[in-house]
Amino acid sequence: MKRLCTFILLIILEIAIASGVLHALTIKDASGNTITVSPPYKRIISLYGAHTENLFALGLNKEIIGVSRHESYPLEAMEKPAFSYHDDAERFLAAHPDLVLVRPMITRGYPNLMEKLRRFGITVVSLQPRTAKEMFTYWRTLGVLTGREKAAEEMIQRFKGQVASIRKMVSHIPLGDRKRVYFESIHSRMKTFAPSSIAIFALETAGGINVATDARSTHGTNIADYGKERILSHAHDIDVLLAQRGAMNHVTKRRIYEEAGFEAIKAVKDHQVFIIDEMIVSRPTPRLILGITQIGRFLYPALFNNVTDLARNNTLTRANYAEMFVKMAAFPFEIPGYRRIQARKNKAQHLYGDFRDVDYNKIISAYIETAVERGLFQNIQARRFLPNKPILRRDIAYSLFVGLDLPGAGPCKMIDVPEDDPDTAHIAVVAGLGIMKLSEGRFFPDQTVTGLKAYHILKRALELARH
Amino acid sequence: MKKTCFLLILLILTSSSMGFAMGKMPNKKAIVLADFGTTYLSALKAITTIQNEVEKEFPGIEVRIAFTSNIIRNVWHKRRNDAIFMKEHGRDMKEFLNIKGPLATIADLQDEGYRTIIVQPCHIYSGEEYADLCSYVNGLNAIKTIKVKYMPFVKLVMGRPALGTYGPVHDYHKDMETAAKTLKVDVDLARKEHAALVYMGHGNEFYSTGIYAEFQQVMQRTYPDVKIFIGTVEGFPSLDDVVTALKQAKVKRVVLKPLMIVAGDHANNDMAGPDRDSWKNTIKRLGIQVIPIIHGLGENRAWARIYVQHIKDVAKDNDLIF
Repeated sequence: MKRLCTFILLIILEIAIASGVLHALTIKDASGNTITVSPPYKRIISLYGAHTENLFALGLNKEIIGVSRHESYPLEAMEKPAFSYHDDAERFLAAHPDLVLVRPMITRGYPNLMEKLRRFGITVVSLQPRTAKEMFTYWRTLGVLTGREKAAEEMIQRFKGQVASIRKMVSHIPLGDRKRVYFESIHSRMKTFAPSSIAIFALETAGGINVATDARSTHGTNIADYGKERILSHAHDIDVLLAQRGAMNHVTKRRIYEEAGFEAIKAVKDHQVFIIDEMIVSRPTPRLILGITQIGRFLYPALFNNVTDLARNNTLTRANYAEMFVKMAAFPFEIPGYRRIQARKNKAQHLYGDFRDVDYNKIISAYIETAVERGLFQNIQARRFLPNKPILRRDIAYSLFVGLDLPGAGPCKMIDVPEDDPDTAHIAVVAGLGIMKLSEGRFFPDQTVTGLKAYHILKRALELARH
Repeated sequence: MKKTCFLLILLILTSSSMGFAMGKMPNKKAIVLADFGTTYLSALKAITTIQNEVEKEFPGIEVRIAFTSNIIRNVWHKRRNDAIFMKEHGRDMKEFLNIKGPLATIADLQDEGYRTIIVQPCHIYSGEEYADLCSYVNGLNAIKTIKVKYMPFVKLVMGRPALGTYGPVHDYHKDMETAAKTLKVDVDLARKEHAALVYMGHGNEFYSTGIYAEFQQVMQRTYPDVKIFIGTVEGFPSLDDVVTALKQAKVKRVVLKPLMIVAGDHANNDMAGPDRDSWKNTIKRLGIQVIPIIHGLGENRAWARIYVQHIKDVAKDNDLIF
């Protein structure tokens, strides 16, 4: 409770300084400091990836003059100079920031740096919401600090709307059918999440039941100690074992399946172990909605991967097809990591988040990016996905060949697909296996398809594919 | 009685004050198998297969495994605090729970009276890891005591990696021919699948890794009826080189396998992972079907026997009876 109280509370003590344009506010930040702030700030350095992501989500860009190391989303963040709490204060001062956003971990570990920055008149604010409710206050605070109150409110409403539609979907699952879940935060230390944490909010919003409700938060963080014995005391109740993967937890499914003692856990026996990227479950950003959706897809695939609506389309678009494929194949969302993006940066390849014709505020963007990451679409041009263009039969054949491990097929000749067509080999296998039919020796590679047709093709392909 | 006690105390005092190397030093023989290591229980088979072959060939000789990876050793050591792990695997995994690096393993052996030691690296070729291990061993061999009889080692020598090393004593071409023969089982599988065989080696960006290209030619000469390609994760030939070659050869189907001792994260992610940069998906983009095989070379007994032979060779070269 004390922790809750120390979280930022905007004490609306507005003192008009000048002609009503500039306001000074007194706020109490997550580190317990009472700070007088004079928004809106125009030269901001963010030392935490979630702050950075949220600032961009509020529509800021030129105001962000520095970000933390190893940023991976959005792409624009990677073009900004990187700062670290290991740097000298002089490096910060040289950049002339008016606001440095940190989090309690940093203020605790680097008090000298914080003190120096403050001494030079730089406002340092430490923020870190611990619960979903605090997350909205946190977004509002960022809005106030940057003069983007309206954008912050829109962000909150959009997120709440997305959450409400997921809750509505989940509400139809009878209580007796709800999955009981153990959610690992750090595998090697057998830690879970605090019941009030954002990760558990994501789990519960997706309709999961947290089995570790008795876990106590470690030092007021999202993380909670649990221990192997306690996990195993729930062995028969854990329907699903979920683990976050990220910088602080380099876990693999193989490691979990091989963990001594875990063979007694129901989820391990039933092969219900799933890995989810920490960036979409532990971070207080709008991408949390992707985490919630992904958890739902793991727990209730029949509900969350339902494609009935998509199958009703008369002409299936590339965006719809991406969603249909990723849902039917149950491919988990691909989330870009710093290393992968760095490795691709100089290769003129598509990078997660760079499609100008895709709305990244919508969940469909995650299906599109996952399909692209899996290599289902060929000839992806820089920054254009063409989401509304109809999907062609040749595109479908290509995606099935690349995306699934299909068995071999005998030779197959198609009158209308010449030998030198770049897709010949892919089409020949898909047609040879009877997944896509020929009509009098013709494949009609450039024809569009209906949603229902695509559904039947995918269904046949998935039945034949090796898993 | 009083007198005996006095003598005993005197004996203890004098012996403990005499420095590190007094008295007759024993000379037992041992073999150290140096691996990068793995934390996966299911991948240990690659390491233990080599160990079993070596123990079978040299009965009565102490054989110890050393892991060169610090991170992997730490994971094993932490497992000692895991009561459940200890209950389930404490006995059969004892060796790995107490696993040490090559330096500590050699030092332990020396301490226990093993002064004739062969260090056999379970490496593919003479690259960075092999060079580092040589440096360790050379460092230990640089110890020169005042009295020869107190030298810590009677003999501390190192075997060569699977594909050999420089120097005229053991022709590396022959080592490659021998290694190629042990991979028949992979070629047979590719032949059965009407596929080409593609190996993914580890490689290195700090060394010329041309040996992989040379080994590809040796493999191709040994098995002319199956197309064989070798690339590396780091270094030359790269995946791009493999892709170019596959296109030129108009291949329709490949069997893809790691050219590594253990099938660990490289095999599961870089080679057969789901993202579009993995070897599997990059090759599939060309319209080529891929059959990934996730098994390390260490699991192949014939490959494991290479290291047995290299131990025998280094023993012979140094007039050691093992």
